[in-house]
Amino acid sequence: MRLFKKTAHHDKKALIIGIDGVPYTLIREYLDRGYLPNLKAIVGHGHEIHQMNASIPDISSVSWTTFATGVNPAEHGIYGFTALRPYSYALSFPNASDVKAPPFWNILGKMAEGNASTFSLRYHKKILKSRRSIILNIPHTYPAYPVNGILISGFVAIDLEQAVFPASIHGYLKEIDYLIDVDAQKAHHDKDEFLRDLFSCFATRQKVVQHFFQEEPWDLFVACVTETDRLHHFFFDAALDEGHPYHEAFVRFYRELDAFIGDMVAAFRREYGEDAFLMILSDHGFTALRHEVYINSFLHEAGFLKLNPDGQFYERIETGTRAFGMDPGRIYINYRDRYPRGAVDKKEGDRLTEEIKEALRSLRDPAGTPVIDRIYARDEIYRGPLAEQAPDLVCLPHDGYDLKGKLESAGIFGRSVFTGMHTWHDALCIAPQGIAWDGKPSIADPADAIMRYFTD
Amino acid sequence: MEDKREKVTIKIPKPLYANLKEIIRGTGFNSVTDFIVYVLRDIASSHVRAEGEPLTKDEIKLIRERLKSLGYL
Repeated sequence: MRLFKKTAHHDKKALIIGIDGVPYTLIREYLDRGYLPNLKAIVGHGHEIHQMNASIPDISSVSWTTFATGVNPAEHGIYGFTALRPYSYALSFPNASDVKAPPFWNILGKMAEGNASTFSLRYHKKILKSRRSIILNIPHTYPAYPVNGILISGFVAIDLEQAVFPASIHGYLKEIDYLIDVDAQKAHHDKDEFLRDLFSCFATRQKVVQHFFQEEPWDLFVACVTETDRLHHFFFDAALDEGHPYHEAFVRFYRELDAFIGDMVAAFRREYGEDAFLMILSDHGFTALRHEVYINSFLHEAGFLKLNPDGQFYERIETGTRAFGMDPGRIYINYRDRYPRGAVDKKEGDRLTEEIKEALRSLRDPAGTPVIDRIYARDEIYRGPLAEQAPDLVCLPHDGYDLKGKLESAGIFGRSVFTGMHTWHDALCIAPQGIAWDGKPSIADPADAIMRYFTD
Repeated sequence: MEDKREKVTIKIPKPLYANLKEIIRGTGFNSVTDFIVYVLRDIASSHVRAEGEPLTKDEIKLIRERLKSLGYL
């Protein structure tokens, strides 16, 4: 039997609600339309709504890890859902054990010793007493790891037993048929059934969140709703189109989300008062998808990438390849000293980088519209000891052009079942008034605001 | 919020209750019931999570499928 850790009662309490992939602009529009009365009351009640930048690239594993650690990918080490093993083309799937910086809940819980980051060093001496946290469904926290409190992993958690800490909560989750994530494959062939699953998964999620909110002692409570992101991937074209067959369901989901947030916030304020810390945020935005853009097909057609027709994923890369892409807009130079069939010497890197940038800037859709909005070189955006693992270039597309890293596409442009795509510039943060953001906030900033609340 | 009617009553000896009340004083537990539920859940869970264990082939297959279903692979 594991004995409980004594936790002193603290007066400071923080509730953080994550809403995966919810765009600032859509929330503004829905607030104006009167769809979200509870959020409207929160925004008009000591809180401000901000448009926020996501991580680069703007996908959940990177963005939520940046949120959790308060540092950029060159410090936490996560650049995507996929990576290549060192000095190989073997695909790997980074998970929570690959995160090299402590999450702020483990700084607060005094469990980050021996795993410092520039962020944790700013705060660890200011934490006089360990704080207990409940962390529910944050992406990229799998396998679950020890926290001072409770953690249930979010996407891409596979095995529920490995997705919980402490192990003792597994029984409760199994009992209520907790689902880590809805089966998105269903949306590929039966959208109605997928929607039913989405509502049902959200209902169970709410039950679990409310259970731990009420039943466990905590100082920090962080819960994330994943279903919004799933809704957006397959139904974002229905968000504003009142004539769309799924518009009613889309808005109904948002009304349920609003009611859930309203209940949580009301309970939070009832229990801990008006001065307790409340934040609601997303990890990236979403917009309607016009074209999927297969970046490897572009690199292939432009002569940068050569592929063997046989083999698995990046093992197909042939001798003579100068660059290849990984999801969503990451581009890696095939350096001789970095990959088995590398073709590029270090001294050629700068010239090749410029060549690729120029080619990308000239990429137009079939109607002649430019696809790429910004291209960043590694050292422009990443700072830290793990910058060597970073992509050499990262592209951010114009809204509507969803960059895809797959290798087997037939052409550069296409469409599939997806109707929504992530955006970097349109994440959301609803935060207490008076936080001194340095310009437009980015996803690394909320951790600092939360830690300042607990340490000031 | 959760329906309180989903709970059942369990009786324990009064001296034990008093003892537990003392134990949880000054901790984050709001009540003896909270503490008992916490401890019983730990006992009820018989498995031990393997720390740092690499992902199995089946897990990797499932991760690939999940990522593919959302267009990330």
